[in-house]
Amino acid sequence: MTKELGSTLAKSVRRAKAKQPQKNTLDTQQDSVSEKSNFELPLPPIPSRRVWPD
Amino acid sequence: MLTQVFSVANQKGGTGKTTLSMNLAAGLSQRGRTLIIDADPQGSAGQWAGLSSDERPFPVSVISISSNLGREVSRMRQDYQYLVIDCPPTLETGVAQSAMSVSDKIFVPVLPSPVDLWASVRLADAIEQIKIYNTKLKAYILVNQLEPRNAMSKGMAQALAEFDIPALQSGLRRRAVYRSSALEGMSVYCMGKRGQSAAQEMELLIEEILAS
Repeated sequence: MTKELGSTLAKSVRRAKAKQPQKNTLDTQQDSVSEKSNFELPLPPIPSRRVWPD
Repeated sequence: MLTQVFSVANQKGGTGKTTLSMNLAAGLSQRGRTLIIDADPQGSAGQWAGLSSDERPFPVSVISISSNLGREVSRMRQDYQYLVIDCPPTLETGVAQSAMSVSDKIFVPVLPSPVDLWASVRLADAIEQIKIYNTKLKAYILVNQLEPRNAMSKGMAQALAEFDIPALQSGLRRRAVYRSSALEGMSVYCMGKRGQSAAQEMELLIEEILAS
């Protein structure tokens, strides 16, 4: 029964994947980001500050 | 110091993002300096820590950030070994994507239910797109609120194989102590005997996460 349920679950995930739009809202082009979006590209890491002993 | 940034994300609400973030951070704080970044406007992580008493404060500080997340995380990398970002339950504002773009690893808590699995499909797609420019990013599904005797929980492995994101071996069981620890502003690590089993499974999870 578990096997059957697992296979039904798996089938439902495949169906959900197939229904996904080809392109979602994550396009990084500026004009495709919604007005409310706070999405920002990551900044390069800041090099750590050296701490000198007193 | 090599800082690791972990995001806990799922655009579906109620999957246990905050519970995982808080307990994950509590466990990590035993290994190195840790900070929780509450990127969810609902502010649940902050509320959780706010319920702790002065005598027994939550072992990890929580700061709330929803804008300039990338800049803030870059700055905090200097001071902490682990940063845990509790993401909002939406992909619409871009905050979750910002968090993922500065993370080393993303954990997607999923409940053993069809609706939760379907909802995670879109997030899996979003993660694939973030990986295009954050090439070091690793993502993992974590099954939360497992009930070992429940047929749905048992059937999860087969369904998870359909995702491009691997699932962690360690799952978290459905336990009342996760909820009661929130109410007391504590992690399961501080819940004494009541939290013992939960703390043990958190430790297994953290070991797997750090080795992944």
